[in-house]
Amino acid sequence: MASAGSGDEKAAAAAMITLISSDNEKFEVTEATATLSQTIRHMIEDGCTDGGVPLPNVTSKILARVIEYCKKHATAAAGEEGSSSSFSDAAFLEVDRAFLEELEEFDDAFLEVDRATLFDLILAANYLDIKGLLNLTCQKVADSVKGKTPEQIREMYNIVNDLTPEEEAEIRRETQWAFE
Amino acid sequence: MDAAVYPDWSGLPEDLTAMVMRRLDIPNLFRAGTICTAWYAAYSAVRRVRIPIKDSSPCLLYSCAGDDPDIATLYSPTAGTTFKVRLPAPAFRTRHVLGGGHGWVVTADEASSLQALNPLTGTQVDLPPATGLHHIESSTDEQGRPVYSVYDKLYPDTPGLYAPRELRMYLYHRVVLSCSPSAGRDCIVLLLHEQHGEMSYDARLGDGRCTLVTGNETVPWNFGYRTAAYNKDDGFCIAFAPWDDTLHVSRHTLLRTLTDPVQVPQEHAREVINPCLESYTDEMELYKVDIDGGKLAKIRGLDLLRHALFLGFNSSILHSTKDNLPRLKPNCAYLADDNWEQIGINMFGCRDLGIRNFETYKNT
Repeated sequence: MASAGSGDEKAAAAAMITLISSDNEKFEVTEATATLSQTIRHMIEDGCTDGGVPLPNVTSKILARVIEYCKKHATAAAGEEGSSSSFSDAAFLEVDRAFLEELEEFDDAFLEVDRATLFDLILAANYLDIKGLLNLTCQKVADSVKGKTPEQIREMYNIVNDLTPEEEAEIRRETQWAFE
Repeated sequence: MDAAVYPDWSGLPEDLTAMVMRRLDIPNLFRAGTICTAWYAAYSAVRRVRIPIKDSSPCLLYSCAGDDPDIATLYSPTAGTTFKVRLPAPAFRTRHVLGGGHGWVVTADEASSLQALNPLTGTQVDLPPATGLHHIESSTDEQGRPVYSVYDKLYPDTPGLYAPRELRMYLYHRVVLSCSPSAGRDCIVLLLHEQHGEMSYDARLGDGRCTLVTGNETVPWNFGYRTAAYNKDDGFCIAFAPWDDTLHVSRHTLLRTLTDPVQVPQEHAREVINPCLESYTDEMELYKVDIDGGKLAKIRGLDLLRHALFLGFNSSILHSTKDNLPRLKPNCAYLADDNWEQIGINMFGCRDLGIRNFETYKNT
């Protein structure tokens, strides 16, 4: 059915893949969206996507968010490719900047999630091998840790300090001199 | 779908935690290492790459010609490793290093302004500008270019004029820090400078002025100083040992005549007085300063208690070789050119570098 479209872009858009979450929910996505995931790209290349792609590590709630991210970024990528031939350089740069700004806004809004969702998004981005999403989510955690005391970080991320007082003193000794 | 409200983030796989930590600057990275066992493991993996040293043992800090000008290379003899750090502007390669201590270095940039810089954390603090010294003013020359006027007591009406990037070569001898500049107002910055080895200090970091040390009972001379080290109890002295002794090292340098003159690039020809001369360290003597008795007592290499002495154009350092520096030779001094006449004489030839063994009295 892929070859039935009138142009290459439409042909790619017409190829659909079914993703199946751990709780058995089915999601129909375009190949362009799905292949932002290197894991799925390899499965498509190996021809083992007939009957859907089971993703036993990803819940439907998280998979819906991941697909939302991939759709947006796949559209942006296609838009950039499509525009490059039909605009003058200056106009192209203008469009390019508009795309980037819009993407940035999307990413910021996308990251407005609770820490449990952020945790699952990192795991999903890693499992599905979506580089952009992994970078985005890791940066979000790094930004939230900056300037916080260890106690604040533990509270934020629900971590119990399992270091013995001796270990803690040893770590402090090995790092403290850099702050002296 | 509301299950698993609060995941325990220590359960994030180590490589993913490490991916987060790679995005942190050094102080935040170090803090993140103290959260829990799992985060400590991830921190250790990241740290091995970024700062593969674990204590304040001496490091060699330099700029490689193949790197960007703002990248510095550190060689740590303790860790037996070399690593690179990107430092804040102005570019590290364009600066002169004037001294340091407590993990910091003090540099003079191309405007001859001083900064204290921690090369591991990338933290930087501006020190008083050259005009903070009692005899320096900023003005313009006949062509309207910015210059520094340097006033000499002997010729008060005819100040010497220096281009901003040249003043630093003439003006500063050494800068010594009493403690880390991160201590803010507790840090005293001591400058040894022209004329004639005067001392000035800035006791309150950041107020932009320096105070000239004038002769008094505790400091009988107000000029001629070439090196200093800070000791909380005794004030400034030559080198101080962790076992509370003050050491005085006499280093006798001689000049020798070379049969083959040193090759000097044409553009520097007028800076070299005699290309056939070379300065070298001939003899060294080690003394303990008897403060109460007011005299020097000669000591042997063994009295260094397996420490290594570092003498060069920076602060004098005495460091234990016992625990963490097995590659360093005990009871030895590691030497480099230690004053700018010597550096000037040896600039294009053989530098006065070596190791003096105080047990065998040999130089290598």
